Amino acid sequence: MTSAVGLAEEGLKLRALDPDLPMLAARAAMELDNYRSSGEAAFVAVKELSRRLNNSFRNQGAAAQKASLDSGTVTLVGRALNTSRWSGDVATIDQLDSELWQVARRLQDVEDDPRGQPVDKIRDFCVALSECASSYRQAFHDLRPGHPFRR
Amino acid sequence: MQCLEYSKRRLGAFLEEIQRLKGAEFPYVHSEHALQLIEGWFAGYLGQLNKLTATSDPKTVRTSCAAELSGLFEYLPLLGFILRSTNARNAFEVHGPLLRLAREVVKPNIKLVYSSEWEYSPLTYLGITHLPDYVLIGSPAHESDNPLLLPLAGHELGHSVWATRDLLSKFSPTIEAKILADIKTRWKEYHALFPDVANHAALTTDFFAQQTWSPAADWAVRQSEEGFCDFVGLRIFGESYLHAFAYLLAPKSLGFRSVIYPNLGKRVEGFIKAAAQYGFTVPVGYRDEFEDLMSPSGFDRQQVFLLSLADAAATSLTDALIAEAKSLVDGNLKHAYSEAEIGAVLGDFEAVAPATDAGCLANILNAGWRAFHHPALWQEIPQIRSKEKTLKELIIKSIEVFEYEQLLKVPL
Repeated sequence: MTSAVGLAEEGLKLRALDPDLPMLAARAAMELDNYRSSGEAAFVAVKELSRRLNNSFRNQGAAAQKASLDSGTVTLVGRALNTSRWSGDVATIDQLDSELWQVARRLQDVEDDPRGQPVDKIRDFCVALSECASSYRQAFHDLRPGHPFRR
Repeated sequence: MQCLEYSKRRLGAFLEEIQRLKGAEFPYVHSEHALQLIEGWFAGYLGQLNKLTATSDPKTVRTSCAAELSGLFEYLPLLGFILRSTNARNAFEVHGPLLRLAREVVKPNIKLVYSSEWEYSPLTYLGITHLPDYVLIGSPAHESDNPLLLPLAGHELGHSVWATRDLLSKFSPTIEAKILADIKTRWKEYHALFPDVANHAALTTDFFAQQTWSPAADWAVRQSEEGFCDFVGLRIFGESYLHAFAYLLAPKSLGFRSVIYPNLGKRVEGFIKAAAQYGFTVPVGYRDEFEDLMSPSGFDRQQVFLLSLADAAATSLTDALIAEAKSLVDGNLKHAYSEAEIGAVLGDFEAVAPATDAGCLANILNAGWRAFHHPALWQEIPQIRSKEKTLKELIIKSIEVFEYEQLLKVPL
């Protein structure tokens, strides 16, 4: 059967409220961890995440990369970068763009040839992205009135 | 790590349930195909969990198990929805016409799962990446035989149009700009609530400052999406959308408003504005049928301020969204409703006959609502004991006739 991931929209960008993001990022983390421990380079989710991240940048190839993200996704990504300690704490939007671009490049590089890549670091970002995406969605939806009989 | 074993077992049970569901009788292939796609995604995830070993990174293992658990929380109701789409209580007659409509306004290759649902509000499951090119529309179970509510499916199709056309990317910069402009105008208020943000410039350059207003943008985007969906429904179905909406939601539900919808009064004012643009008449007193819901309880001062920003930003987009919905619907809909055709269908109904050559679903539903509000209809026919029941049956039969007529022209 065709991979459902592969059937996704070509132009899909990273979106904080995408329901599949927690599982997609977790699966990417597992693929990276599996490569680290077994050497098996099977990157279905890594590829999909890489595609969404790359689609989220304007002026690809230019020196200064600018992410084209809605404000909610900026918040999510900043939290994931901070949680995974990708670099220092994200203080500015420019810094966030630059670090996210690094993540996008690294994911692309892993997909092309994982040898010599900081696989642990990228995996940790994916883990953080999964957790932060899940909590972001939860926080958003908790603001909706719930069913009074449900506890 | 025990949680990994539990996680695998849970997923195994979930996949077994899908296997059982696949044994059901499906009236149309799309529900079955949706199950296969969900199965494919979760089977792939289980395959990845199975590769984790004692030497795997513990944090990765735990997060993967947690994500799997969240996935089950989110997808189990979806399996229930797909199963219910096979239930005989559904009006299967509407599937074909709704699918044709979806293929016109959303995407030519779209698939549809339409079902009764044990949620009061009609709903759509959206953003399911594992179900690309799918529209899933639910209607409340106790009204599943009531075709007069079908115009509300137009709202749900609107969500798919919003996603397919990536209108978030189109409108979110405008929304964010409006929010930032309003913060600058209301700087004293903002600064009192967020004193750590030193100046205007920080709002767009500083990550901490950006997070202070980001929820307002999220809410405004969702409010705008809901508004757009209403306008899609209004453009496709005209006045019948207003009646269906009022039937379902007037005067309001008790309780507090949701931050991701405009408050009810504001929403209805949007309808009235759209009706004027789209050229149909709003029933007299329609606005007065509705009341605003209460503000969310328990909101702190910061949240109240953010919600006011969100409301203002969403309202500022109303005209643009009305125009966007009109442009997208008009550019894709093959047959729009017309007064002449509605009148002809109503004439058939008056003769207690299903409509022929109705032209489109909206003609049937508008005629249906006019018949519903026609006080003297069939009063001289003693054999008709229940006007409402007869009308519903006539509408459903007309939809069936309409679909046969369409099948003769273009098979689905």
